[in-house]
Amino acid sequence: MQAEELVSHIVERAGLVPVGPVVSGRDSQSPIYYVTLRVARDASGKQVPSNRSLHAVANELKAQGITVEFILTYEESQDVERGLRATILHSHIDQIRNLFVSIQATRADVWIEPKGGIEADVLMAIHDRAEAFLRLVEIELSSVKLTTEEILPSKLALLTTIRHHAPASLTVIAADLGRRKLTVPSPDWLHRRLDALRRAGQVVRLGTGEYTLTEDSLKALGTAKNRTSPDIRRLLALSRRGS
Amino acid sequence: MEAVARHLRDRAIALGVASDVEADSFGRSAFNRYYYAAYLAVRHILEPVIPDLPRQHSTLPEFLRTTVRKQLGKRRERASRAGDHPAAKASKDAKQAVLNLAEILVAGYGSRVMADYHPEIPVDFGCQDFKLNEVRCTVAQGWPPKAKHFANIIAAAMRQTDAS
Repeated sequence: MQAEELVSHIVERAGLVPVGPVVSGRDSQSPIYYVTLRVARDASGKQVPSNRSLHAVANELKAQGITVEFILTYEESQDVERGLRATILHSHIDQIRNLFVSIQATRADVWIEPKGGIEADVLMAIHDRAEAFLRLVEIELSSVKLTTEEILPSKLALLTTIRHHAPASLTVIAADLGRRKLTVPSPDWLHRRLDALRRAGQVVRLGTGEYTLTEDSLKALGTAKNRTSPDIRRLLALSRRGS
Repeated sequence: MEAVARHLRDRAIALGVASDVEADSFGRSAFNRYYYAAYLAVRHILEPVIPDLPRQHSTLPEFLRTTVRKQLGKRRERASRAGDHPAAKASKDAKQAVLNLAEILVAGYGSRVMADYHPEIPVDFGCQDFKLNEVRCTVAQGWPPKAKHFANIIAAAMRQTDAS
């Protein structure tokens, strides 16, 4: 117990007020001490104690060979989240499963977990309700986002896939993106994305309908000298194909 | 596992109202289960994209804040070089998501240590639901879905910027 008390004293000397006892983690060779702190906002909306001051204390302790982690409890934002969840779920129980809020200073991001596809006007209605609710507690809504597990491939993902398999057909590209757990909504979607890249001068469409990168995109992608080097993967992909 | 946690929570609240001596056990077990639900979901989501994710509970948050953020920073640069602003933005957002996720894992694991190894810290039933060392059960309830949400943002950014 002594070490925990010592940590508590040091944290207090640094001007922080731990809530309850300090405890230590059990699964690592050198213990990590958990210090619970109450976090509030001051009149200007800044977090007190600030992340910077927490970082400073953690570093000071680290210099003495003590690792601490802070468990932060936000009374106020917990109430805001609970209130907003109740308000929104009440009017949209058929469309959304859950809602979360993350507040930084006086701005809040709201995420909603939809029950299925969600329509734009419903999203707009949720946005307006959330905005009105947050205004009451003087918090500005910065965004409403959907939590969804479908990920559409980025441009970078498309380019790296083509580099790997060039010349790559639509089927090969779609299959490789699928392997990387990226969702291709339809062949047409993929075709349109690739066509946009072609017009932007980043890929070339060969007479065979297959795609390869332009010299510019190859240069832009760059390479790496490590075990995940794209050059090596490219060589292996070529030899596997037997060409 | 969230269902188990919810069950323990409901039981704890029912017993807490009746001031039953077992209320405390049910309450602290709920914190334990909510943390494990979050932790296992994070492993499940992140392991495919971060194969060297440490197995230790206590060092996982620091690994995320240092190693994973550094890697996302590099990937952000790579995406910018390729002119892919959405992927660069995804990497930037993921760096923030890492901090949020680490905070949840710290609160979760710390609470789980208190719940399981520190019976001298009692569950406090003197509020609407109940709390353990000022961490409310409703907050613990938010750990699994929030952790999943942030882990998904990180996994998406890793997949979008995987250049190998």
